[in-house]
Amino acid sequence: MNPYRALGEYKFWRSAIANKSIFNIENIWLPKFSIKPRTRISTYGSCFAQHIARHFRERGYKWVNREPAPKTLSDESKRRFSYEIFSSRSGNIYTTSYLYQLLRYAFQLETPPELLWEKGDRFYDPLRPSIEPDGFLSKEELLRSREVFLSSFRESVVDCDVFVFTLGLTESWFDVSGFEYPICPGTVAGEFDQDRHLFKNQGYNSVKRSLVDSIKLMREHNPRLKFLLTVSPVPLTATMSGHHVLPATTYSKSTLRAVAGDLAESRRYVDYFPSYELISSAHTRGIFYDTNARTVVPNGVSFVMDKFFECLGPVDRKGTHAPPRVSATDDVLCDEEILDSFSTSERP
Amino acid sequence: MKICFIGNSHAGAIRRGLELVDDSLKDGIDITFFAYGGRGFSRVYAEGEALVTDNSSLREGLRFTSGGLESIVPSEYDIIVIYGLGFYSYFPFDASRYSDAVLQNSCLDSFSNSLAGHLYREVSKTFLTNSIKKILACSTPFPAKSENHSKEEIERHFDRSSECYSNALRRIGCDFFYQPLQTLSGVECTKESFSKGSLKLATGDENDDLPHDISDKSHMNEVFGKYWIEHFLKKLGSN
Repeated sequence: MNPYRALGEYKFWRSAIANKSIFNIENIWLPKFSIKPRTRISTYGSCFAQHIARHFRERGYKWVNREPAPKTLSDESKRRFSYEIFSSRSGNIYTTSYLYQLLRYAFQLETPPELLWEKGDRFYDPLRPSIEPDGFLSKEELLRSREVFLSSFRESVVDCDVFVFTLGLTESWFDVSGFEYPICPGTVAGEFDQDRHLFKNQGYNSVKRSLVDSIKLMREHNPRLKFLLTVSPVPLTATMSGHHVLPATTYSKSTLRAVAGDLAESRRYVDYFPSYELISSAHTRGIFYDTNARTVVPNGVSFVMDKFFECLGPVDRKGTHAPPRVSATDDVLCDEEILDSFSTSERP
Repeated sequence: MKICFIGNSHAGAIRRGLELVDDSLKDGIDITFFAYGGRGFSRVYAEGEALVTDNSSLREGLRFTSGGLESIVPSEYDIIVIYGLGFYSYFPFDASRYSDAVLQNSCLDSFSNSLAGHLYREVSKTFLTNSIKKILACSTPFPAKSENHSKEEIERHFDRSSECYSNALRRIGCDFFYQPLQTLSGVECTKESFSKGSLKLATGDENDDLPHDISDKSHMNEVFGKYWIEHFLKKLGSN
């Protein structure tokens, strides 16, 4: 007799994975808390979080949208201006430290820097450089929009039951003043200044501390708030770590995965959903990635989200399990992908 | 001045209103109506210099409302008016939450994604030469109801939204004509008196001139039409 004999079949690789079709994997996630259609859900994070938001919305769940677009704005324009992608118009939040920084601004523990970028007669917000693709009309308009965003972001934390966050990167860029940029200056907007802009590849402790601080701050303002963490299965577009992009990706994802796992293990109000494993593990043989071995194909997203809702169990409202239409053009807005345009192999 | 007036069921009130307008105001103005209800105009497309349709019912409607014409040749007119046709000039009350670019795009989207936008594109295709005519986009009247907005709020919203719609539509070579301020009871609603006793658009079928259902608050009566067309003609004269 040994303790492995009492384990269920989904604890063994052969019975849970090797002998099954990847589409029939069961019990991949046992939710710690219920998420029902009436549960108010806010979603933020890296590119992959956008899929989660869309699926919640289209399956009839109460997805929080605290910064709605004007009602006549078309879906195409909403995408262009980053509406209805996250629960407020945050743009991608790739790192836990950037999340914590935004939370400090939103809850007025700190004031955002006066910093802004000018290009021609247009103005770009370093907090959300791609939010207005052609920049803002004036400095005043930019600051007013930033204020609207920060209050909407705060409301989306206070007025929700579950905060879903997808961890994306460990690699980050800071200003010498300590301000963290959401993406390297000079890529989406702004000018890169090597004396001013500092690269930092964050380690486990740094990532964890920022996430713990973020969760603590959010629960101070919303004590019943629960968290669902995921890790983006999308590999790095580029790395500044000095290493090859493949091990750099593994380092980044492993760190994020370890932090998410540890927090989920140690806190009853934090859970982890294994979207990363469902897409990227060896058993899938990469079928959920596009030919660039990086982009997750729409069917991969649907597969993950179907598993997610399957694991949540039956729901008490008609129609909520109906998955949204899979579209081959269902792209996400991903600031980080701009780094690919700086690849020497792409240069003429 | 020859005016081509193209619209859906909402054009009925304008047509009736025109009959009530003092002749002096209509002096030198020749308006030809082309009207058909619902989404009928989605079956209209450009063919050479004309707008034509392959739908016999729509063709009959065009013939009836225009007084005998089965197709529209925009180049024969000085002004093309596109009225209603699913175009609503909604504008956020809290516009300061949005950038100018977002607001202008939302105005443009509201027009472009409506049947009015489709018609505008088809009309533009018929201008084969350099004879570009003035095209006026006129939004559908807001539903009749009352709202608790002050006069100042209504005026401020009216100014802001008409400016934004005008700027947005100018980008595609189209002029914008807003519902007259005096017909509004709130920022996005029409005075209730203007919807009382409204009649259906006459297109030559059994529903011609029948009263709209009493619960219909979206269609306006001939008093609204008279007010609208007077306002329109005066604006035209002042330009």
